Amino acid sequence: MGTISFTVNGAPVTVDADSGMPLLWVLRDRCGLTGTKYGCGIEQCGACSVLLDGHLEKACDVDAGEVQGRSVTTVEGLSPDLSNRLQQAWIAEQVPQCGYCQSGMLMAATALLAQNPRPSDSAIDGAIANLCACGTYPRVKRGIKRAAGIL
Amino acid sequence: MIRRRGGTTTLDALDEMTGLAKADGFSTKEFSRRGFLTSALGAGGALVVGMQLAPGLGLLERAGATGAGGVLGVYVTIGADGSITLTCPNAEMGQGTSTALPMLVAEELMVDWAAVRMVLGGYDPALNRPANGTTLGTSQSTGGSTAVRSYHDYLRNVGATARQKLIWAANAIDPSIPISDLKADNGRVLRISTGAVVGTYGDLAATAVGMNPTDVTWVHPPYRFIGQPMTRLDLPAKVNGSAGFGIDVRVDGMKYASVKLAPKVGQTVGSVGAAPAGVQVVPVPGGVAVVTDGSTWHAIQAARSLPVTWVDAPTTASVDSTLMRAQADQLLATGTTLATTPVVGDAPGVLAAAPLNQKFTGVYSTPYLAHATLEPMNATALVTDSTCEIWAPTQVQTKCVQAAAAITGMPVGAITLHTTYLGGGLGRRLETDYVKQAVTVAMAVRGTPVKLVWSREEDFTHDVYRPCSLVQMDAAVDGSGAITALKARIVSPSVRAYQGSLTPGTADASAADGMVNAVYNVPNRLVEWIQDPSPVPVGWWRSIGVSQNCFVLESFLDDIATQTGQDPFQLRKNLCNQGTEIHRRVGTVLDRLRAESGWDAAPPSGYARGLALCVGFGNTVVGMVAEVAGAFGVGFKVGRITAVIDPGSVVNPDTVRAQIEGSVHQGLQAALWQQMTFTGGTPDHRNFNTYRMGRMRDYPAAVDVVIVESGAALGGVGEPGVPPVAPAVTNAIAKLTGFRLRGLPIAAQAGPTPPTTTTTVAPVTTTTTRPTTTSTTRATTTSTTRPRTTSTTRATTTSTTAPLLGGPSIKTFTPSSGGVGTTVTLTGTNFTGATSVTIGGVAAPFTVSGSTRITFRIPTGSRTGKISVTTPKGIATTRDTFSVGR
Repeated sequence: MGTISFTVNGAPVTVDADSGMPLLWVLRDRCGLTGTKYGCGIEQCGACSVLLDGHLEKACDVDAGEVQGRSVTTVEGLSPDLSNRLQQAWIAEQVPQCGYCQSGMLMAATALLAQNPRPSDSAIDGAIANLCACGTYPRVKRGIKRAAGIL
Repeated sequence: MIRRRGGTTTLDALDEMTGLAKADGFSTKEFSRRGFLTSALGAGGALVVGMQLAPGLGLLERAGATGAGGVLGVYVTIGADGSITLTCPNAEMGQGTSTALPMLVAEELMVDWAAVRMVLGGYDPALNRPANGTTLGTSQSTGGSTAVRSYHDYLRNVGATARQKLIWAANAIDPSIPISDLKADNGRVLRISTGAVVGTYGDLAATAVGMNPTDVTWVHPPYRFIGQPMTRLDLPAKVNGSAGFGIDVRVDGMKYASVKLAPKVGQTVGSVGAAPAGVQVVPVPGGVAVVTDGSTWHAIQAARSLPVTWVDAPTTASVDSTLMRAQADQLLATGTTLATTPVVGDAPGVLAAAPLNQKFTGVYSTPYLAHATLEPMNATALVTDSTCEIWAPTQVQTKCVQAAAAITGMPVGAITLHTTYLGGGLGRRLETDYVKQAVTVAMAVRGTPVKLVWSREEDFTHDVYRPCSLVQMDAAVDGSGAITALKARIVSPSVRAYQGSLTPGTADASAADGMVNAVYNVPNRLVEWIQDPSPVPVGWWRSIGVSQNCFVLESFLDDIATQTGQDPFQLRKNLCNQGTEIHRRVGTVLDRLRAESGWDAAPPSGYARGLALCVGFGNTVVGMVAEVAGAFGVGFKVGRITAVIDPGSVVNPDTVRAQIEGSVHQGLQAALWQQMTFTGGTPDHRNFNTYRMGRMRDYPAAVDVVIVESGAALGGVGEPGVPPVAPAVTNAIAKLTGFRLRGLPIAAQAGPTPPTTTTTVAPVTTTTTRPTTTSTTRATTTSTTRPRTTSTTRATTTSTTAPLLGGPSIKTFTPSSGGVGTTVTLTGTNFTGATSVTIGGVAAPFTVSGSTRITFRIPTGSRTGKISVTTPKGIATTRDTFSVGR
């Protein structure tokens, strides 16, 4: 087992991890950042979505070795005090139900707004492929538009 | 059995549903331990006179908050700073009861909502679902859409009692102020005569603990919280990653475990190969668990690579969807029948006596379904020599603790269970299999905490699936179209039999739920049940048997409405004509739905509308209209759903709205795509790549939820929105395409058989040769109250025989395919005096309605072929063939 050094939510970390260990589990079981969730392990559900150097990635499919020296942002990095505009919009629209998928939803929404500050409904449909078993989709959509100031 | 009284699930039904005995399952040792904790913490005393409340294990979790404040029973903790901590006794799995239940307490307690904090209650008999407003029941569990309605009175009493304790405390501190001059207001107790603040709740809480008020009454409307869209207490933690789900539990020094369970249904472990160094193998129910250091990923990897041989059960090979369907067909024809109750009138007699042209039949099917909660099954446990501590996302705290006691041999009082957030429940977490596994593993590594997490693949392949069903419906109508007899013959596996709680020789009423207790008043009703002995594990899936039977019944009613030319709203209203409260409520919901959905206006181009109704889960009424476009072979899209719900009374309207929005998703993905199938004993779906879940782009562009608050008793909200989705969609498809789907999921149904002739269809405006992409642009010009006018626009044919003057001509036939017994409607001209109707040359019994309409039944011995109508003035034959299928 080797060590991997990277930056997570702005803080440098060095953890023991096999280079083939998925970033998802490095975050959860090495860094203690359990906001990033395991749902499928095969890039289908998006519950493990994080930003890697600002780009949306599914952490179940990113090996620890690929993260060396890079910067990861997780849901905990949006803000601990709910000051992030998407977090605020999520509260305003009362988006989550069970909440399990919402970390990934928020990261996917973050990536979307970085690319497209005023996304149309169809742009949201195209960009947000995360699974939500509770069916919060209409509220996720409203949350994104509220955060974008276009609700 | 789930017992129903007047269509309402009795509140003790859930106890039975979750397998709990009605007898008190708690040992005296457990109570004595609770007493010990109470005295040790010095915060004792029953909360309410006449209530069985006592401070319980939950105190441990909140000890830090007591300080100079006070713990007013298990539900209410008031900090010296005035903070209000309210306990949620239920599982929070997204349905919002961790807000709705505290709202009830807070309303009575008269506090500022912003001051309220919520904690999830662990296992504690003092948090059991109440039997009534002052008495606790025997289990702590969440299901059956019972939370708010079963806790409402009790929690109002809790809050009101705590409020009066605070008022009495003010009087105790200053006896010169009479209680009659004191009132509670926003976290303070005021003197009514002067308005002066006597004390904040924080000041008074410690004294309040010992008060024993005798003047407990509920506050009166207008309410501050009840009926208002209060912001959910669990959401802040769900947007910054801090919400603790079961899979997130971390205990110092814990190991990681995962499971390798039998790949085929019924298999048991044959042999286990050598595990790598550092990996411990522990036999668990269903297979083996592996325990590792490192991470959950290491545990999942170790489980995957562990060599295990498996031994088939005698039934393993029979778990094959093709074989099981054939068996179900056989059972439907010849299986041993058990009647469910109540039996009303004499449906078989009325059906036997009815003329053929006043009888309707249809065979419907529904598939096995996975729960597919997004959080895989998991639990964490620590077993020591004398204690067992569990952290679990569970809907059944009591059942988990009882299971752990059985496994460990410890008294219930030695077991502690912490309820985490649930990453979805949907009924899957009414099971305790994964908790038993975690405890079993923790026994093997005694003294070391262990978190056991299933891979997604194990989760999909070791679910307790929603049962499949095969149902034959028969009905008779009188000359006016009124339904006089209704008979359902249901073949399905039994959840209760799988759980070992079905009395042999009795029907599993849960399999008939939504059918036998449907709200419709048909004078002769019979629901028969035939047990399908399939060994597939089955369990409760959100809205349980209603999820299947609502589809069947609402589809069948729609079929009858179409074939008899009745308005589908009016047909349902006619069946709810008893003037009872529930029938009046149904009428109101249907009227409102008709208006809100724009039923009497044309739908958007390319769309058709379908209606369905569901009444249940405590007499909640949900009506839905779906607008659907698309075609067989291409797929269908639901553009808009209008839902009207009357749950009687409403605590948190935004949660009601959210639950219906979510129910639409749950119902729609199941209707469109989902089914668990099996091949040679193996479940065919292992992950989300093949078990299709609805995504953002699949969700209807508009879901309009209208809440009608009739003021009737509280009904359930979490489930009744699921069942009507599928029939609303398939009823719309029937109207759109003229083809009635009687099976789910929609994507797996063959749809109508294409016409075999290659004749170019004449450019008749209402005609298409077959459903293709063009049907999405086909004008559905009629959105009238006569659905048959639109449902007959597909599979239109023109006569191949030039009609004689005054001879018959056939314009349309609907449906375009079907099995023996299917009723086919012909439209055309000059049908008066018809002397025969044939299909493929085989004569069929028929009924002429005026000069433009004939209905006939596909007779035994029919083959696919053209339809001919003979009158004294000529013969008309369809250009296209009617396909006689299975």
